[in-house]
Amino acid sequence: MRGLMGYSCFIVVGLAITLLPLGCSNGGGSGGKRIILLTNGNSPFWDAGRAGMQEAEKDLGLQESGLRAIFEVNDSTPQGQIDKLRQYAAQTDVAGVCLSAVVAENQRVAELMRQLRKNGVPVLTFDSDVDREKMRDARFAYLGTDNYAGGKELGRCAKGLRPDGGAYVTFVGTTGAQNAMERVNGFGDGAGDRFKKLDNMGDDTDRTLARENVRNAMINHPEMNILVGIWSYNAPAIVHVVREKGNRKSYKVVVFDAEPLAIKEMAEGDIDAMVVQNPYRMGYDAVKLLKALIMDDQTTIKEMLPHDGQPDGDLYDTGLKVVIPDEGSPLKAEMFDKKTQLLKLSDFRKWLDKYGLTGS
Amino acid sequence: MTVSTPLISIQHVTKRFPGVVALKDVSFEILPGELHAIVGENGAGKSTLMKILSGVIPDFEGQLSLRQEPITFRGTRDAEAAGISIIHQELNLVENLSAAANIFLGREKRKFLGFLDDRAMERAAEVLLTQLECHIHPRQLVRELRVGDQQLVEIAKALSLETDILIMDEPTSALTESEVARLFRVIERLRKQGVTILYISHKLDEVFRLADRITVLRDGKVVRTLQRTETNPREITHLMVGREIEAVDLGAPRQPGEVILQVQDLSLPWQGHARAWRLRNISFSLRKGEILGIAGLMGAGRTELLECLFGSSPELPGGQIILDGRPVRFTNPAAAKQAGIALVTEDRKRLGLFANMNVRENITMCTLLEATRVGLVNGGRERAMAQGIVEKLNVRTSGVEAAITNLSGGNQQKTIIGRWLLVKPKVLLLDDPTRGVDVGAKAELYRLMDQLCREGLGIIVTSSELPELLTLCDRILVLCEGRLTAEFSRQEATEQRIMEAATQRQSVVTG
Amino acid sequence: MKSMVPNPSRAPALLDYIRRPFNRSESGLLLAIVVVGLLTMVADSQHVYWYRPKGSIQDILRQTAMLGIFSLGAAIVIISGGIDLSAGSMIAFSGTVCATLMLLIQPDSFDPRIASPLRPGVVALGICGTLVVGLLVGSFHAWLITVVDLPPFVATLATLVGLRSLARAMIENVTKLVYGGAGSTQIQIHDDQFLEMTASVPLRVAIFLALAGVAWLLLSRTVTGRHLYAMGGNEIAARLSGIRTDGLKWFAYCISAFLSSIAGILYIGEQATADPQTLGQGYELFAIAAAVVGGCSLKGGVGTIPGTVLGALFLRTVIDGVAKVIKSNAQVYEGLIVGAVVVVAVAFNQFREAGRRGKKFFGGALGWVTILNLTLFAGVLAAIFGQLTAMNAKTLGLVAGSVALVVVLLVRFLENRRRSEVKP
Repeated sequence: MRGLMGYSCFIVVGLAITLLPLGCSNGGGSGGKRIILLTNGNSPFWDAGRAGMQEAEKDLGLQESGLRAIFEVNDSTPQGQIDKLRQYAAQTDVAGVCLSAVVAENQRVAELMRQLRKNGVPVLTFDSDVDREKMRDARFAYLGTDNYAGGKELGRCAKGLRPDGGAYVTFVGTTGAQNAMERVNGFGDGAGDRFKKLDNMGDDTDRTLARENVRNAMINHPEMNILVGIWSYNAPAIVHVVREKGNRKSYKVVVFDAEPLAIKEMAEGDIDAMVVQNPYRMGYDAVKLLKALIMDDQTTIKEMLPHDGQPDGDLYDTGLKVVIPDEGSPLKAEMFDKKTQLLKLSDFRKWLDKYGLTGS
Repeated sequence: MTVSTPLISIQHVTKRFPGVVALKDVSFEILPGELHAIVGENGAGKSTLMKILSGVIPDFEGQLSLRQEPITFRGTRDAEAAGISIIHQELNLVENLSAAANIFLGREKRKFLGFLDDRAMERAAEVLLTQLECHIHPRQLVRELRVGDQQLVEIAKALSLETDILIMDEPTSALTESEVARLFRVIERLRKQGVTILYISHKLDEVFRLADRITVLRDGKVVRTLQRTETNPREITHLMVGREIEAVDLGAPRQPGEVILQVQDLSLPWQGHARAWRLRNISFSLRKGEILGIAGLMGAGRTELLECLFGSSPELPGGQIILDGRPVRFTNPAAAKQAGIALVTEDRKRLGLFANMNVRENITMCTLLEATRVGLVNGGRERAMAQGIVEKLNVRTSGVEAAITNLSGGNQQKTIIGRWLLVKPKVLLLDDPTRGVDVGAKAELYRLMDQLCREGLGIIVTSSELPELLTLCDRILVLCEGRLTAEFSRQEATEQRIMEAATQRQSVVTG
Repeated sequence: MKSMVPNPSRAPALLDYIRRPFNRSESGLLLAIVVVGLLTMVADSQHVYWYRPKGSIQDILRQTAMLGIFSLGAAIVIISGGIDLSAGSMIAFSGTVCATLMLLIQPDSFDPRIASPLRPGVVALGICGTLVVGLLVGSFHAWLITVVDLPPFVATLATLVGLRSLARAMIENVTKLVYGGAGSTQIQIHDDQFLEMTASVPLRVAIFLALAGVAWLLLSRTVTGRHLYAMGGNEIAARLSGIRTDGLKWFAYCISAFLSSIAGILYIGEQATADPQTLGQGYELFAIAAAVVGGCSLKGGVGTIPGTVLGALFLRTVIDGVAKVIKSNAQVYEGLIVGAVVVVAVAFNQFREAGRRGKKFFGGALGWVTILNLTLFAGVLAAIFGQLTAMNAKTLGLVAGSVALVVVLLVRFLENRRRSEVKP
């Protein structure tokens, strides 16, 4: 009798658990094959990417072609990405994959990407590429910003803001990520030799630690006068601490990416310059290129990658913007690369509204 | 004598545990104001019955009635509310709390806002303890008290409930003579107040001193309920055991051989204690084929002495121990075992048994190496070793694969003794080996010890039961507060002399 | 007083296995594994298990072998009465040590521009060095526990935190030493042979089974194994029986650290990188879960190796099932399901062993709150995948919640009725 009590409780719990799979099998059946965009963390940056993906799904009529686009996030570890790629290889309904490589030179990830390609699943990278010397063949193309160029622009912002030079600390998530390393290197080159690099602090996507790092940098490096945010959430972390300490006058704040919070903070005068990528376009164009590869639509492929076959012909630039406050910024368009667009904050906001975005 | 209506009526109570039926259709009555003794061997069901009466075991078959009304207990609180409280055999005190805190545990006195009222509790505790002629301060921590005082705290706890039914489960098991006398005075006082007492004991002399009526349990059934005045200890023993138990006669006296163990000036310091020494200048010797007894009150140092010989004392003792002609120094039990000394500890549940394991595993624990071949245990050999012990010691079990917890206390004790016999020790130390063992099994153990001695083993045994020592031992040492106060040969020893030596404060025996 | 039944949670000898093939807790686990596998096959809209059985089994075995290796260590320590919280960090540390040793001896293999293949001697040295370090860490644990008298929880908690940090510091300094510059947070492995060797499923499974076999033999058929169980069951009695408990603890903790080292070496091959920051995060809890689901009791003295192996297999099967059925972003739900499964599995074990002293599941005030909990839980779960599958989330949630509520109230009602039926 007592056993019966126990078993009935297990039924309740079991029901709750098995309902899930059964329910999902219903939903899954109608979907069709999956185009998967795989990133390493959640942030407004990737929310914009997701918006782009969903827009592309509608615009390009994915459903009629029997496809759907899914946004997936793994934890920011190599094992996590490896496990995800293994699962994709094991399943039969994955049509195409675009991922942001968590560690650039990781052999295993490259090997799994090659395996997917061998099985007929097109593979792209975006935002953070694999090592371009050894692993180029692991993916068809890379979409995104040349992170080195982006870093350089940000460095030029710093130079424009402090023409006499200065000392800076860079704040980032994973210091080993390709995009992180390129941006930091680019920053150093763009700023020039009047600028001294004091430290490069990683927080492993822990937002609390991101703030701690800023606090510690202020204490450990009294000569620091520029704070550089490399990943998107480092910007609000920096501003939070600067406001907390009330020492805005001592620092110039230059950041990468425009989270909604960062946009607001620039409007309030706490950020001096933002180098903005275009994650919306990354998401959109990733879907577009993958669909073209799946459907073997050579026209679109040629259109997107006109120099395919030539050196660096597999790099697809989604464009860079530099955003400055509406009033009082010393930065001018001539300081930057021709392809980079310099925008005032209000114009940038108008651009965001056009695409229904809150950040980029 | 007027026929009074029963206070408690126990009707057809049956309790089953997995694998054993503890109580079978037990029915009897308890009259108001009487002292009703419940006797029986270990495993007869006395404790289970008392746990049912006091609400510790709430589910059973049968019916309880209190003052002619049927009653159900869902827990101990219900029983307390109904006026029944119990003093357990195993003390249920929280060692890190004070005596007063323990007395009022679960029923703490509170001030306004619900805060603890320590002062009121201490005052009330003081009153209770004085009634019990106990001179400890209510704020003293329980772990610092002597066992006798701890037991009085337990009694005070039950008394504080002011119930009119009190169950006492083997209350004198850890008390000295004077403490026992004190307890009896308390019981007298309670009886005058009209409290009904259920007294569980296997000590028939106490039972015959105190009880009005006696109920005998055997194998979970009521054998008979008798008026004390209409029976005698021999008949009761007969009813408990189902057969006559002769006083154990071990035949011709043993001839001890050469000296196997010599102890010189053994001393064990006691850190942070007023007395400074647990043992001081103990010297004696043990011969092959001899049983040496160690008598003394609780806390005199008997267990500590055995621990020193076995290497399990908390610190290294001073002095010399010479085993078989060679001086030895044991820092851990493994070394002692290697040298040929074995210790069967007191409190086998906590210190001796592996409750998760079966009989075979418990027996072979110390000597498993002998059953291995190429490093792997040979199941057949191990079983044979265990089976051999079971037969030699006449351990009553359904087989060597039976769970050790299924065996009765006496048989468990035999198992542990058997474990050490396999080691083929030169010296066997036994610490209170017959505690919690029923009469029949006791006799068996006595005969076993005698036989082992005749085979050449040297045995040291401690006990708080003087008749037992007088039966068994060739010589008896008496400890008092860490010092050796007397040594008697079998002819010289009497209970009186031993008690005197055990309660002395000064003189040390020389030579 | 019957029972020739051997206590089912103790290590059975081979004869027992032959005599009673359906040792209850382990065959129950085996059945559960099969059931989950079948459930996944059916519920998976692609029926991957059906169409690609070899690949699927390979995937599960690959993961099980890894988890299994260091779960064996966790089980041995738990059976001996202790606990080892540091397994995950030990994996990170040993992986780092292995990569560091190889880097120091043959740095040009790790330089991406040269990437020369690793000489076998270097690999051997790296592996041996790592295993030795494993034994050293295990000995350190033993020292903290038996000499400094720290509770095992505290001692291994300290290394849980400390080892990973030490590994991170080591890696940065060593890479700085070898390459100059700012140093790196990871070491990338480029040698194909090494990667292939460590990623090979047959090799991993073989290593795992060999280790499990030795562990099983040790626990069930040797004196040391018997003494480990004894110490776990009653440490004082074991010591007083002349068992050298300190030595046994040294042995147990060394085994645990040693096995974690092996796992560390295999993991850096799997990931092609030694990244002490992320490697093995949280893995110790999976190891303990595998041991506990497989029948080990955290009190000590209870548990078996076959049980632990099945426990690891069961956990991985469930996780893989979740990934197959909830195709995208399955990791979001993985924790929920694994947590529920562990609770159910262990409660099931407890049930069978002890019976539960007549306590009602939903009695009293706590029972009412639990009823509320379970109802909300069922409702929220149902609503969530209502969203996932674009069925009407609200109605689904309400329906599931109501169903759960009715079932649970029924259980409570039945319990109460049974209570009052006891007295004849």
